[in-house]
Amino acid sequence: MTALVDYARRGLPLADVPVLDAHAHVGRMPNQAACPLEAQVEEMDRLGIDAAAISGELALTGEFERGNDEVADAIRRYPGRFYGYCHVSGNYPELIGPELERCFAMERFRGIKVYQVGCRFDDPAFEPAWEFAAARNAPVLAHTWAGDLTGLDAAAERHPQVNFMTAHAGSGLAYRSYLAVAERLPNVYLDLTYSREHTNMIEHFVERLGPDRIVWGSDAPCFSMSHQLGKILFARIPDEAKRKIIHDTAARLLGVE
Amino acid sequence: MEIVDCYCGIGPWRNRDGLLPWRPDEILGLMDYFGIARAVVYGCSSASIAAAPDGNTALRARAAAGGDRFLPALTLAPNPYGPPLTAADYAQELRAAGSRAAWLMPQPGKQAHGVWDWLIGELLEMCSEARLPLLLDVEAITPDDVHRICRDHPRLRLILTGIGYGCDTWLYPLLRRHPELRVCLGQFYIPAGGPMLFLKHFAAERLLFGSGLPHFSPGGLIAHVMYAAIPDADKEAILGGNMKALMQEARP
Repeated sequence: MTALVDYARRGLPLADVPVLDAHAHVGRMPNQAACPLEAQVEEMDRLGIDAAAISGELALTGEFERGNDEVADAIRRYPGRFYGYCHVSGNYPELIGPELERCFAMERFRGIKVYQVGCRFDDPAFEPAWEFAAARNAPVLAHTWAGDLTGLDAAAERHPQVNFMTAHAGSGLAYRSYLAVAERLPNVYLDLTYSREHTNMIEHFVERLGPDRIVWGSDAPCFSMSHQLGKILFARIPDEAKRKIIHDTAARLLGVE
Repeated sequence: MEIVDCYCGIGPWRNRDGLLPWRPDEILGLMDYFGIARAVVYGCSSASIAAAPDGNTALRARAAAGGDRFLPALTLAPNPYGPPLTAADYAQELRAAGSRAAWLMPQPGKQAHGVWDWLIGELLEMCSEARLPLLLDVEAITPDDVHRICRDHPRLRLILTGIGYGCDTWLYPLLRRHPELRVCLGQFYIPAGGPMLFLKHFAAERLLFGSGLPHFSPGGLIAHVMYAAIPDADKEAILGGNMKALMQEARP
């Protein structure tokens, strides 16, 4: 059996290895070249990524409903390749319930995406989202940055039946606060999606927390899928741990067969 | 394919996190694992509080521990007190160290140096004359600083590090305007489309692999190049050939 690092060393697609990207997007980042969905799928094929869980880039501009529509469109256009996160915001609490109901009535929406901009995760405005997540067994992918979890730990403590993924875990080399929360709360998972790759950090996360509590994501089309997948494949951890990170843990959370 | 890392530090620095390696043997071990043949190295202490002269001395000693795998790149800094360490002195020191690349490490704040031409112009001219590739991190400067440096020193072979995935807005216009400007991948020049997108606009000679070790690990960036749908010759150039060519042409 080929060692997973050798795929990356040679630029070979992970054709015989299941890969699920737990943190990706669809649409265009405002400060970047357009990345058509076809190109995104081509890149998934080139790397051997079977499927990606996506949210809409438009949500970053406040256009949550239109962003969620882009997700639904991608799911329809490429059957079997995408799962959806419904993006909701504590800044628009009146939209949370209806938008979650609307999205989850559509095919393959499996999770909830949230940002903390303007509203902390422990703000009561987010409570309907956490209650929905508990009722539907839907995981939450929460944007965090540089060790500031902006209330995610309090929300996770109040809702132990909801699984929370901390996006960009370890960003800014602030890995200690992420580990402290994940070690204390079993419903908190680390998402390694991050534009940089601090030396020894992935290895440290795996050693301390284990791969069953860690997921990866490409953040595509914000940035390179190959960089994000490559840092897992090159990590100095056992292949079994890599397989869990690049597929099994996220598949379990998102209910993917 | 010989991988040459153009952006690598060795030695201690003052605010090191315990996870990060710093000893030369640790860096060599990582280079072995990631398949990096040689690294152009700076002294990490040079990047701390603009300690260029002392950092260079320490760098030369530590780089020697790596045999021919560490290629020392001295850090240049203005010296307000006159000789030694004028531009001519630095050229002599570069020759003595076998250094075929250099760093400029401006620091924010009034007790350090910026990239003002009245202060560092002589050093930049020395690099231009010597065809010496000069590495410069964008963290402490602005895109307009880069433009002014390239405009005032058009022959300078400037390699930018620390470029982010969202910087194309200003990076592409600068690359079009200044043909001797080049980009290092490290730590996170990883826009969607990656090298394929870049090569639609610029020659592969303008893109260089550099990891950002010891702070940043090389694996993701190597995969970023290896998975790119570009010719193998371009991958080879980006991962090492370009830096080797630049250093071969340098005459400090």
